Amino acid sequence: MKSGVAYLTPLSIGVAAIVATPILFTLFNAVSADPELWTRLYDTRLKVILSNTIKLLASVGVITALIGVTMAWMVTRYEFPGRKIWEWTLILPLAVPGYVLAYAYASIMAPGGVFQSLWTGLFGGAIKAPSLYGFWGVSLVLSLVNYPYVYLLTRASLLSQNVVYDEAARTLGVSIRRRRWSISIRMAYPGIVAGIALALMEVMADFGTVAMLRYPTFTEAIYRQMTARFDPAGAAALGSALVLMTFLLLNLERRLRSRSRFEQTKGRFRTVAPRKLGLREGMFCNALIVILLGLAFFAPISLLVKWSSEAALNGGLDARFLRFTSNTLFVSAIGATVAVALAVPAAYLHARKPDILSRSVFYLSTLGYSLPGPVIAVGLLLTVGLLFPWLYGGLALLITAYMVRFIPVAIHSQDSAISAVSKSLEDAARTLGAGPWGTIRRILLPLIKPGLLTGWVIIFVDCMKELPATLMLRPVAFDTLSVRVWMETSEALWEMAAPPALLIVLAGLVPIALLIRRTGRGGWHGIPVA
Amino acid sequence: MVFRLHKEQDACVMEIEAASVLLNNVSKTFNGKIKAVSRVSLNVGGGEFFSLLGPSGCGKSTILRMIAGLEVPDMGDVVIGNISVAGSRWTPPEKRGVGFVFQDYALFPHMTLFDNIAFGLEGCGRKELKRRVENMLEIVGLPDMAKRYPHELSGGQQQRIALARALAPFPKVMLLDEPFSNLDADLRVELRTETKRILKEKGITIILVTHDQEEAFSLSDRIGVLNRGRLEQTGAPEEIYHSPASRFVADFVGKADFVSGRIRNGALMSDLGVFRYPEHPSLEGKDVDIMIRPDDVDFKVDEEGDARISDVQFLGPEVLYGLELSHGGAVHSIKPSARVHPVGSRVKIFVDPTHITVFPKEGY
Repeated sequence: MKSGVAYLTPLSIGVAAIVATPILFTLFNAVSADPELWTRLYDTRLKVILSNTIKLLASVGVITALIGVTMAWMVTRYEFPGRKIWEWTLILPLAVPGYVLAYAYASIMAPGGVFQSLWTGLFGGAIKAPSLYGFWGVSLVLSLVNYPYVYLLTRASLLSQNVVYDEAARTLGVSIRRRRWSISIRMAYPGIVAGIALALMEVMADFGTVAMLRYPTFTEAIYRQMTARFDPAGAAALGSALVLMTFLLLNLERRLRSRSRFEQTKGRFRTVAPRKLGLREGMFCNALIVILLGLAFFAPISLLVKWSSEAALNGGLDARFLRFTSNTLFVSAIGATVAVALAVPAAYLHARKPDILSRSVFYLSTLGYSLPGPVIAVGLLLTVGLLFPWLYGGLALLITAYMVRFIPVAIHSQDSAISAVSKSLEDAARTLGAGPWGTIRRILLPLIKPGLLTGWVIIFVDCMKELPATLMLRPVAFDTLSVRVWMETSEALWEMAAPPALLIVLAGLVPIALLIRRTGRGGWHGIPVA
Repeated sequence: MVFRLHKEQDACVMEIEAASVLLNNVSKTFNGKIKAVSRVSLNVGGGEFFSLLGPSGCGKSTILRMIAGLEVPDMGDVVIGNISVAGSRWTPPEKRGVGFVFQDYALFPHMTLFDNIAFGLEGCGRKELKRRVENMLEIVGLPDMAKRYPHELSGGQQQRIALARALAPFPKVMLLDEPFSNLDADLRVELRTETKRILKEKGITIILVTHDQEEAFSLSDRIGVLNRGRLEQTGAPEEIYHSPASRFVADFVGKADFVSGRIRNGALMSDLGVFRYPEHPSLEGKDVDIMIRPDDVDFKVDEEGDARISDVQFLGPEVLYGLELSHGGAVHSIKPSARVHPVGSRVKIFVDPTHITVFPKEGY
């Protein structure tokens, strides 16, 4: 509309530029790097990292699929005591960042810890206790925190299946086992693939777990290249390779999903009625879930609670701890506010005027979510080093990193919130005498406020959990909770890391509560944006 | 000048001053290629009820939105009253003083009905605002609903509130974009009669967009028929119905049959008989198609007749007959349903020659 909201387009282009510049800078640095750097990198680091990363992706993919699909099947197709409670408690591990679980298990399995004494009690010294460090430890930890993605999306697809297919197969005389595999699971395929893809994206972006458990992958290598070897060109090269891998994965997921998108029948919709389980079968389901949640959530969290309360009693929650906490809340609140505010132009234009310009801006601005924190940090450091050296080491840089990484969450939630508001409401306000800004202020903002707030909360918590970019970009002596967990763990001061870790988990429960509440009535189908 | 215009609009308008609406050669293209409106000119007088009639996608809503200022014409002028609002100068929608009732009503879901209606009354004092809102609620017959929210209302009630909200600021022109299309048949007739009464009482200029010819006929002083972005004809309802300017109009505004004929020396010869027809130099001696409406055709059962009933559709108060002429060709006839003639009866056809419209054969 002529004389519409005049500044939105340039604003949105500016935001897209801020997001895209560090990424393009990284890519440019990698491409223009000395070919010798690549061969050196390949021989010294890339070979190991690449095989490590691929092995990890494969194992986490398989384990999360197994856990996620089994759990989704149990809570949607069977009826047993406790099912209703487990249905939502099964997503609790989503509140635990990988590095918190890694830290918890590192402390449990440390020499002289609970696990080792138990082990020697059982087997004596004859059999060596298994170690958490390395491939299997990392695989298990990352699977335990990421299986909820597969669980949620598979559950949603299973719930949206119409019973008519099952009934049709029955009339054709197909056995129950074959019906399960060739109809229910087969039709849930898009959900399963999407869930695994989300889990694997988290694995690619993970830094804390692999670094703590000493299993070098891309993120860890980028961090080390940048902070220990002071080799920005090498870090940029590794970062570009990771970006490439991420896009390959996204592309693969898109292709797998588009090839198997199934049309549901129109008309009457009935879900498949869950089968009532007998006592022993029901007990078995309960036992499986208790073991899973015990490992992924309750045992480690109880340990954190125990150590945190001891710390509280011993005066461990001192002024220093309060400072870390207030640092975290402060920087996360600013990060979330900046991201939510800067998302408005891009989201508004994309929802209301989807032309080539606004779509490109939308695409560029949402690039950051598929980029791991270390890559963003390297990109920002390179950009700032060259263009704005005075920003170096300031809080603004860290907040920019949060913005780049998490603005996609805000843009996506606002885009769907704005699209849900009929354009004619804005038109009506205009014909009734309100100007373009007045229309946004009086009509649009009040109507999308819930979406804005949800986006803010999710980003706020994401900022609190963020570790690698914070580690690399924070101002000197500006520690946050996540940084404290990292530092205490690296010095094996297990008890000291518990209070900040527990606070992070508690904060992580808030968006999960929002998710459950939003989707609580009439079955939820939503995906959390972690 | 610009400043003064804005000032005027921000103030509380105390009296409706119907304004004329003038479109001059207005065109609008979407996405660089889809021609939505092409060179439309029309002139709606102050206080007139004018309808834009056409099938979906003909550009009628786009014209309405350009009058409101919700779309910008690529070309041409829009003049409201004596002020050019698009073309040589641009006036944004909020400064145009037009009321708009949307197809989906567009009531603000987060505001009470009172706040919805008061939305356009920013310039009015507190007392006047309250008086005006209450008056509007009364006019639309929902006096005790001020505290309700839109989602608590039925479709018909929402439509009334949408009208009250658009009328409250006393606009110069009221634009109605298919406001009755989401209602049930009975309620539709009731509400459109009531809407016309309310608006006519205020003497306001009304432009209605609709695809329903019956609605346009029953409400309008004049109608403009649109086809693919072009204005095919403007005129009074009876003019549009009986003397359509094109085959499209003939077809769109009611059932029409076409019968071959030829014009010679002021007479029109056809299978249905010979009619007087004014001299028409360009059509002289040429083959033409004669448009015949079912209500212009009557028949009598007659064993000697040269037509037979091929189809009978009972419509309630009337019956629509399909008649096959023995020389080929077919027409329809509509008659009261007191008596129903069976299929196969031979009949003799009478055509009322007062409304004869011819089109050159082939082509529009």
